[in-house]
Parts: sequence; C-alpha cells; structure tokens
Amino acid sequence: MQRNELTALLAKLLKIDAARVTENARLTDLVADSFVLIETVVELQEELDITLVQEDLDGVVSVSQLLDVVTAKLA
Amino acid sequence: MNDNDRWIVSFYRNSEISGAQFFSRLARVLPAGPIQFDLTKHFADESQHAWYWTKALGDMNLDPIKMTFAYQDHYLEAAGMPTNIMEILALTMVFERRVISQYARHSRVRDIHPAVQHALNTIMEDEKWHIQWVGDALKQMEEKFGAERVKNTCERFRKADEEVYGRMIAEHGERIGHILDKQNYAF
Repeated sequence: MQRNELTALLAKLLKIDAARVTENARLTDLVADSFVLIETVVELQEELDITLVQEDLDGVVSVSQLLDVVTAKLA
Repeated sequence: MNDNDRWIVSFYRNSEISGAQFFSRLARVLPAGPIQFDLTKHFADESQHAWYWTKALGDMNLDPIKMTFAYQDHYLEAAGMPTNIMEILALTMVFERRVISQYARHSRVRDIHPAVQHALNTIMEDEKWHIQWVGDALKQMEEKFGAERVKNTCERFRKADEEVYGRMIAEHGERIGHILDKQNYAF
C-alpha cells in the first residue's frame, strides 16, 4: 500500500478532511480525545490485518512516524 | 449524605460513563466474534451502571457533580496508550479489579444510604462477570501474543493502576478517606 493511500485511510478512520492529515501533523491534534486515537489505531490494524504492540508506538507522535511503523509492518 | 458522598457517587457515575464511551467505540470497530459479543454486553452494562448512579443520586435528591478528574487520561499517562485488543483488555482487567475492590470497600461503610448500597450490590454482580469474560479472553489471546507478553502487559498496567490510584487518593483523599478507613466498616 502506498503512503498516500495510508494517509487517506487514516483520514477516513479519523473522519476528518484528508488535507489535515499531513506528514508533520501531531496525532493528538487530529483527535478529540485519547479514546479516538486508541479506536483509530485498533481499526487501522483491522483494516490492514497487522498487529501493533505498545512498544511499536513508543515515541510516535506524528502522522509520519505512525506511517513509518505501519509501512514496516506491511513490508 | 454530605458533599463527599455526593462527590464519590458522581465520580463513580463519571467513571462508568467514560467506560461505556470507550467500549462503545471498540464495539463498533472490532470484527464480529466472541470478543465483540462480550464487549458489547460490557459496554451496555457500563451504561446501565451510569444510570444506577444517576438514579441513586436522584433518590437522595442530589444532582450529579460535573467531574473534571479524567481517570482514563491519568491511566494513559501512566501506562501509555494500549494499541491492540489484548493490551486494552489487560488494562480493562486491572481497572475492573480496582473498581470491584473500591465498590466492595464502599459497601462495607457503616450507615451507607440504601440507594448507594443497592447500586453497589447490583453493580458488583456485573463486575464479577466483567472480570471473568476479560480473563477468559486474555487467556485465549496467549495463543497469538504469547503467555509471557500477556502476563507482562497485565503487570505493567497493574503498576500504572497503583500509581494512578495513589495519585487519586493524594488528590481527593479528603473525599474518599471514610471509605478507605476500616474503622468505618459495619462488617
């Protein structure tokens, strides 16, 4: 899956305008509360059939960093 | 009933609402299967519990206090964000045990209002099932994640729970101290 497709998927799951999901955007700025972020990460795994664990997301704060982790899992 | 009693029941109500909101989101995104089934029931229970506390306050002619203490945010700060359903259930297990322990202590307090006692007894019955289904689900997840990882995840969240609960006691001890003091227990 291409990076722009992942970005589009993330925007869809977050239910926000894709233009807001830039590489540098902070994930916490894209969600109303922490519950939404957890829900989105769980849904992302279901959509892509991957499994993330807590260590995978250690230090991940931006869209770019999340996409890096997801891309590595898909590889 | 005094201000502290009103505060603690409002706190319970707020916690149940937060739990219901969280599980309702997960129930929507998880694939069909036993976990989705039980988690949906769990979320329905938490909503019902929020109603029991609202009703108990009403029976005491009290309005709920709007709470600013967001327990779940403190949890996430201490434990980090759970990222998969196993980690979410591990955190849930730790939290449910904390809840049932708190409610059991509260139910022993002398001269407790009948409305509060009724809500506590009813909710504690549900909580037993919550712990059972979550425990069963975590056991099943050992196959995918490994028993060691599941155990370590539960332990990590248990430590975080102790930290958060300790912080809550430090911040709101004057409001819940009477529940923690065994000298106030009727049995």
